[in-house]
Amino acid sequence: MDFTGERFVPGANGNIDLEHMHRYMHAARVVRGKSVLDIASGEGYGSAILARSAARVIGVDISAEAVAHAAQFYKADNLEYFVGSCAEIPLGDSSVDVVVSFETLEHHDQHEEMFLEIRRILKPGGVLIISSPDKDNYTIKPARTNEYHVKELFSNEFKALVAKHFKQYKFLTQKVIFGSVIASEGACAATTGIMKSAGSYRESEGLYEPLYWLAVASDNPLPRIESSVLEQHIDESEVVMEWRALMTRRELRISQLDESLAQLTRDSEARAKDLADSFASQIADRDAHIAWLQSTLVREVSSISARLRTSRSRGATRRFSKIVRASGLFDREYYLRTNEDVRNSGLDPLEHFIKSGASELRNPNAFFDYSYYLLNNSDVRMSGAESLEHYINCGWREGRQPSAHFDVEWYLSTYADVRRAGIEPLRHYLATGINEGRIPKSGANSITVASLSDGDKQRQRKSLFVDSPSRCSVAIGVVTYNNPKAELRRCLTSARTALSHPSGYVVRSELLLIDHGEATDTSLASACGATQIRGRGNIGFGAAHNELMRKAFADGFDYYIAVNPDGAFHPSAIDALLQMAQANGDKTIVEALQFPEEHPKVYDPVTFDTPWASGACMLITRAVYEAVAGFDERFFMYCDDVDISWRARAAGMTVKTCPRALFFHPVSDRPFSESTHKSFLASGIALARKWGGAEFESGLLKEAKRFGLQVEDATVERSVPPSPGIADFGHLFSFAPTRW
Amino acid sequence: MNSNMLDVIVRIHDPRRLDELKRCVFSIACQSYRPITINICCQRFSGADLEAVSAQVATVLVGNHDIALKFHNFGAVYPADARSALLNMGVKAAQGRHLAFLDYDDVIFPNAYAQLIEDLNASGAAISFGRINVKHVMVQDDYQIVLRRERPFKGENVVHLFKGNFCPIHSFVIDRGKVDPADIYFDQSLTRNEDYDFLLRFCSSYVASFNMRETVMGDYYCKSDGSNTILVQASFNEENVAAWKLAEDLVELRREILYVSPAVQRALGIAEIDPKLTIKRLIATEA
Repeated sequence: MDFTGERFVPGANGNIDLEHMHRYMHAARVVRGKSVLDIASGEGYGSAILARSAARVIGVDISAEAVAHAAQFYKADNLEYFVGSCAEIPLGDSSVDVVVSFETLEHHDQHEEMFLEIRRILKPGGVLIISSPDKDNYTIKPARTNEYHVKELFSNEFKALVAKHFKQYKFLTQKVIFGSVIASEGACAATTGIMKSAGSYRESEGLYEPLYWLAVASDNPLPRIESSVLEQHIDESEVVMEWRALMTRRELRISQLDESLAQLTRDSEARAKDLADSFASQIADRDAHIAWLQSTLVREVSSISARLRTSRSRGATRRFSKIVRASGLFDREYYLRTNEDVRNSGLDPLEHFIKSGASELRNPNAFFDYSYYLLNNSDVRMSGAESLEHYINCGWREGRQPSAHFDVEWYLSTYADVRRAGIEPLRHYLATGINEGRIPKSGANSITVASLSDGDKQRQRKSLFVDSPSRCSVAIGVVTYNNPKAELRRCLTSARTALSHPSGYVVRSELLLIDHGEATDTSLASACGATQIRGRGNIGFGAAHNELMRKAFADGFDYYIAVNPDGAFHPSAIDALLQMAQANGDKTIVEALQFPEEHPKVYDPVTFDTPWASGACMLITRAVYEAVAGFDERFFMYCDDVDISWRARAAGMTVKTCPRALFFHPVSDRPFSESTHKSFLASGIALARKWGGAEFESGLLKEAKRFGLQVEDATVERSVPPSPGIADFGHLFSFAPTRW
Repeated sequence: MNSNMLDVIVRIHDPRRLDELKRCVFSIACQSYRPITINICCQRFSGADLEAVSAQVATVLVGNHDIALKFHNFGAVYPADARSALLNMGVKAAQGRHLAFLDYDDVIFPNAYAQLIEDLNASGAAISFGRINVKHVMVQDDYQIVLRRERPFKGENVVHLFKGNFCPIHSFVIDRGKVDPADIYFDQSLTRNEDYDFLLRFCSSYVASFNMRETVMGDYYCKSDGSNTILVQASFNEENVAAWKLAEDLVELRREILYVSPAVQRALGIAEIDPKLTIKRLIATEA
């Protein structure tokens, strides 16, 4: 049961606990062996205490809840609980020896009725033990009220009530005190000592474990010795005073700490404000300085510009013109894009730049910034030298940066090939580095490629698409060499699917198959709709394709697509190849991107020009075939695609990569094969001899010798006129710069 | 469960990304491993879009009779970003023994699945990892230009994985026959790091094999238009950065609360098995 104040509940510690428990323990000595009524038994604890010594105890309370609780928690053979009121006690006449009633009287006003009931149920000579709070000391003097008290009695009223109903009576008083007690000891003691400790109670005659002994002695009969109590307010006790002193010290300490904390807070706020003020002041100073520098720069730049305009001689202009034209640093498209007046005037942008643009400090490309160069090179600024000319002649060698977007030193240290070649790095980047995916400085994206101009995007489109594809015919040539059936079926089936993708403009198509090795199962070829051309054995990649190409173009086909039999077309691939071929005037070789691992060689992201096309899947137009007469059959395998590409370019044709055309071509690490390596070397040597790659050839011959490979004397001799810008032996067997 | 079947879960959120999806499916069509079921999980495609996409994708698989194609459309309103829900939908539909994931804009190399499944069978592991290239591409209308290729994902073992994710979602294959199906799920409240969250949970419970870590299994396309989920310059805005920060905090929380199973501890050579060993403590002791 919860303690509400209405009735005492064990566990509600403090004075109330002492008061209630003491009463019942005191009464327990009187009820020994007797039958007892505990009227207003409440929680039931008191009845249970009485039952330890009484013969029988009946607890009665007006609250059914209290009675149920008591019956559940206090069980003894001699203990019972009933519901009933003080004015109507549910017991028969003369039924008990003792009535115990503690802190009951004040909870109602039927005092007379209660006493009459008590008299009724008490046996003749029975005893009443009753308690009641003294109204004066309990309520009036302390000025408090107990809401559960209905009618309290003054001491004289209480005494009068008891005396009215009983002939014999003795009154005792009770209070919780702090003080000194002197009490008699032993069996004659009028005091029973009860110690409450850790929830248990221990009794003794006289005080429990007294600290002091007093003696009164005489040879005559002793005078009347009474017990006495010296009381003191508990607030004046040692314990309370010690706790109060401790609290005072703690409060003082807390106060001191609060003050320290407040001071620290004030100090840190002041410091933060000082720092903020200081930073604001520094920033203001810095801003002012920057503004001064900017205005100074503007004045100086204007002054330099004016000097340049007036002082450059005709000779200096001619020299500057020559330097700029040879530098590769002038970007026409950039200049036109960033100078609207030049664009609108129709003037030649390079001429404009040389005659006036440079002296007006208009930038020649996205990576050379006149203002930056002048700002960061005071000697150039002071000397009045032309900045771009200075950079080209010596600036880059001295590690001077052309702008914030290009890092000369980083570029040269990162790309060793550029450093070894001794090329001016910005020129390299603009000419080829961008297309190779190189970046201009650490952490940069390929910003130029990723942010194409609208003009570039239009040129891209024109190189990839035609608005209305012309009706055409396509032959696809496959040269097999003992390919597994499933592989060949995949290739041919994908070709058929891809041929059906172009929406109606391919009016005729044919799959041509020629076997290098064992003959392909005719049922397979037939099931895939392929025409088998009788093979002449293993005559070489180029020779076999030439057979197919001759037939295809003789039969009137417009395009020939050479494919590897171990690959497969993406459904859109042929449409993409055809559109690109037509978009470029059909004077082109177009390669599909090998998928998933495309060849790393570069291609222009706007025109899609590439140094050479891979024979894994390449489209050859009739015009190209007629110009270059197919593959050079002196190449058995490898490098024949490079050769035909270079010859096409030398004949004024283009070679393009079509990023929209995907051709699956499994490229995996194969174990070293001497025969394959020998073929590579032989073809590489042949290519080098044909195209004038002496150093490359020399390297390959050493390689062949190192491996102990016998490479037959090549039948190929130098037969192509010098073709600068076409043959590329500077990148080993890539034959082109690579993106990775 | 079909003991030979490999289920590949492909998720896609935008029907306009059809060309990339076809490229992805093309790479699956080129696989040496068969049979395969491709489960394409779409985020709220309309009926018309679903029909158009499925017709187009089917053309990529003509002649591939041992590759089945299934479409699943996520139609619920919540979560708005259903990337994890798409994966869960695919997992639920899967019936094969082996399970792989491939985003619509990535590519898997021809022998990848065959090699990873062979390693699963040989090693006894529940999950086998390979390596992934990164291709930086410039995105155009229906094609991409590869600017450069990198191999940035570096890691050797599961402890490295616990420290940081170096395994894109298409770098691994799972053997479902060795795991409790309830453990293969993606937290639908995550819109970033949902795959890493899964790997932390999965690899702390089941033994992983990194025997194929030196073999490149596929490409991750890092696109210049910011359409990757990762932070690239084009996607670097305040909202994305804050979302990534939250995702990283959640990953760290996972490290603190996930226990490393005794099986994984034994595989790591830990002599005294500690049932309360968290990922975070394991990383600290292995540092």
